[in-house]
Amino acid sequence: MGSLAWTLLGSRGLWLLTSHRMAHLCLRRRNVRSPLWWITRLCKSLGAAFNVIFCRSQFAEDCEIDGVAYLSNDGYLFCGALTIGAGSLIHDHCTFGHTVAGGGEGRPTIGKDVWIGPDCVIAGPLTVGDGATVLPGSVLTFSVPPRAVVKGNPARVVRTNFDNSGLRRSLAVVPDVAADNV
Amino acid sequence: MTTAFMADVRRWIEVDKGHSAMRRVFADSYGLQTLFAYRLGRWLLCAAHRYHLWPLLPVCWPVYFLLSRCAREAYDIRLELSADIGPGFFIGHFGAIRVSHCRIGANCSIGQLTRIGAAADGRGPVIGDRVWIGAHAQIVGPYRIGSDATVGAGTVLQGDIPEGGCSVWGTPRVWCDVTTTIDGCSD
Repeated sequence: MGSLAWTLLGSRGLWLLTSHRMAHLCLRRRNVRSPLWWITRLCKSLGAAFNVIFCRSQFAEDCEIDGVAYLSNDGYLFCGALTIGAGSLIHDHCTFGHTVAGGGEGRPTIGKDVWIGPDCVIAGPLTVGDGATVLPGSVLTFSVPPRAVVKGNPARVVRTNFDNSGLRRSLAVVPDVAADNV
Repeated sequence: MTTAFMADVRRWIEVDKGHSAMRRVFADSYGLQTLFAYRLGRWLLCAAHRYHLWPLLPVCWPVYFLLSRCAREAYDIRLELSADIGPGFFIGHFGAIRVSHCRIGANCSIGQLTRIGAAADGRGPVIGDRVWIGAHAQIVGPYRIGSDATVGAGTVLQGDIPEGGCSVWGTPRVWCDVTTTIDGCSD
């Protein structure tokens, strides 16, 4: 029990997610007459400053996270995605945003059960398919089919029909697969 | 200092149309707060040559160190005084921005998680006016970037960029037509 409480308090990814959910609720359920809304609004503003200083991350308020998503504790996540699917795991130093010159103003949509490694840039009106894997250091500017593996700058598909459930099991970038096989 | 900083503020208002009120500009923008500390530090460096300003120095240097330390700890934006940044600099986001030992022209923009600095031999890049530097870009070494150039997201620069050129996708390839440039989240 003690270790669970410690995990919840010490997990900055969880703080970020909580604060984002509050901001999202505040945006969706806008009601100027309700004092509860104003309290949420105040918490949202405090949470945004908290995110910047302690979690080192920024979340667009209208980003829709349906279901459970896992965010890294290391921060530096700049998320402007439209949606993030359930079961996705996102590592630190990632940028999801829109292209500004020549590419329009679209924003990415991230599917279910996606694993995104550290130091990735995902930009433009693209879709990352369900179960896709984006390897560390990729710069993604095109849509990814479901269950594909992409890597590189520019990113290209290196493998199709890859099961990333092993990767999504822990927040470590290189999971301890050997422990599972014993 | 005042002229350059007012140029920064004007640029911020111009780029970020949503925040037109001056009060909100300074409250919301991490970049401007950091730039204020940086401009103050640069001004103090110049003030060392003006004897009538010497009484100000013992007061202003601690203020500078306090402000820049706060910006570094809170937002992780490091604008070293060894960098020569022109007026109208725009920092869109916070986070792991390191600028040192370089010369940057007027009206440049910089994304998050970028690094501009000197290589091991101590020679830094020279960047022209109105250059757009995308997120996750690394410009480390004695490279020259012409005016109106674009450095794409995730680029690790390995060569010079001519005037109006565009370097994307991390390789030494240089295309002179702007294809895709990338920004962080807009909110």
